[in-house]
Amino acid sequence: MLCEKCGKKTATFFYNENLNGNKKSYSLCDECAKELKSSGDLGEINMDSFFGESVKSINSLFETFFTPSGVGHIIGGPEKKCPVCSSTIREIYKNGKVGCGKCYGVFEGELAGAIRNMHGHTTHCGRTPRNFREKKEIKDKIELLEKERIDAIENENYERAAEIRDQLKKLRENI
Amino acid sequence: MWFKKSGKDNDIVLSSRVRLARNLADYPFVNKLSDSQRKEIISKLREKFSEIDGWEFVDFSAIPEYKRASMAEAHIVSREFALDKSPTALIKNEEKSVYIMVLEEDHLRIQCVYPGLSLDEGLKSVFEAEDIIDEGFEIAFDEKLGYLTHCPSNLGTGMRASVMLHLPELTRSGAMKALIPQLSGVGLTVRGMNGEGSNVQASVYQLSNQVTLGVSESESLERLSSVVNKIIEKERELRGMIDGDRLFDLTDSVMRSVGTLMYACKISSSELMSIYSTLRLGTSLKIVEIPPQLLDEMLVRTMPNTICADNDCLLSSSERDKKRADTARRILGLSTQKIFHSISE
Repeated sequence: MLCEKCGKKTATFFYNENLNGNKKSYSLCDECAKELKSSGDLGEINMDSFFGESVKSINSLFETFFTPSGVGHIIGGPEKKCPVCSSTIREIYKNGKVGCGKCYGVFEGELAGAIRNMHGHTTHCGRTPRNFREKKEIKDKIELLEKERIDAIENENYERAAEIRDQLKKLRENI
Repeated sequence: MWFKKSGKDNDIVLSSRVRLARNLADYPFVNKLSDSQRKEIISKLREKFSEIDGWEFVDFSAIPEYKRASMAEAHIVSREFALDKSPTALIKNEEKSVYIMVLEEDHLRIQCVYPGLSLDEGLKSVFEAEDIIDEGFEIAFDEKLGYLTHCPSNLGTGMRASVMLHLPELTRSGAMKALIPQLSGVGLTVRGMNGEGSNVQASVYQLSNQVTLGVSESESLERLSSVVNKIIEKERELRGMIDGDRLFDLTDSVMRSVGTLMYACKISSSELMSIYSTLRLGTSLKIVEIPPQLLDEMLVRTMPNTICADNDCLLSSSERDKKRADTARRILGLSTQKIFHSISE
């Protein structure tokens, strides 16, 4: 899609607003979007529809877009799609919602800036699901046994090293 | 239901709510689900919870809309979920404290509402309910981003905790207006009684955590509780300063409110809200003796959809106003003295 302002370059900035029922949408190229922003023509626009309450104005939206990992950096080429749910980044930004768990990996770079702006953090801390806890316990055990196996070899205790090797094989099958 | 019991700091806190957003790893998120996938998720959860005692599975979309909306008025489900026309389900425990919304914005929204300030108990209850789901299903989770949710604003713990507070004196003094932007600065959101997009009515505010990624559940509750405790302290301090003419005027307002409740043939929703706020403050100042949870019950039971649900039919606005007057009187146990010949319908 071409930029609706200059009509020359590929539009990389897609934005919808609904202000008291007055709907507007923009499809702009990188340069025209920057130009409009600096001229103030896009002004202070209510962005409640865009990622809920986290992005309040066009200015903060631009901060999201023009961070190194923002969507403003995916220019040209065929649009990337999630292999599981077929979502595109444009669709995700339009709805303020991702299509499936896989999208977070597929669009990791594009979403990172928005996630950081929303939460002020990038890494989870807190509760984990049972499956994850069990796998982590196994991984921790594998790590310990690996060290023990190396020690056993260094001490020429080959019988113990072989026992550990068999244990490790079984544990790895469970991950 | 939360308003049937008293709770900690009930003079100011109506209720505490904790909810977890969870998704099943094997399915796309709600907006991308096919009709058959929706049915499959509902059917799998029905099967899982039918094995467990103490839980009831409800075909939520089969309930009339006004009855679903009445559950939103009682804050046990979200407004969006109540108004959704797609197939959905509700799973609730026997004590009616934990509600699991199936196919809300996320596949599962596990929600617990307790009276008064009781966030820790709420968190414990939602975790127990989550354990049941965790045993039977793989939950969408990423080591870095935490629980994966439809909207990135819920990533991480997926936990939203909120406390509903009655703050008439902080509102009157103008302190709430100044406080709201400051609370936003420490990662908390302030909303009206009915959550997102609702106006503040009857000086009732909902205070909730905004950030879910990078802050653990307990840390988040600790932050929210410490702010709530400070607000409670300040509201009590202001209430303690009411004396002289202001106390006399307030006593007059309380008496008039009781009079209206005793004798009015019809009461509008906004009039009831104002009466509720006056009486809730009046009871904490010992001008009248009405347990605050009874006032909370009156507030919920006189909401438009709840009046319809309790009468099992849709009622017009003027019919609801008449029922509202009767319902409020009945809940508070006020009896009209027989000085009138009759009250015409």
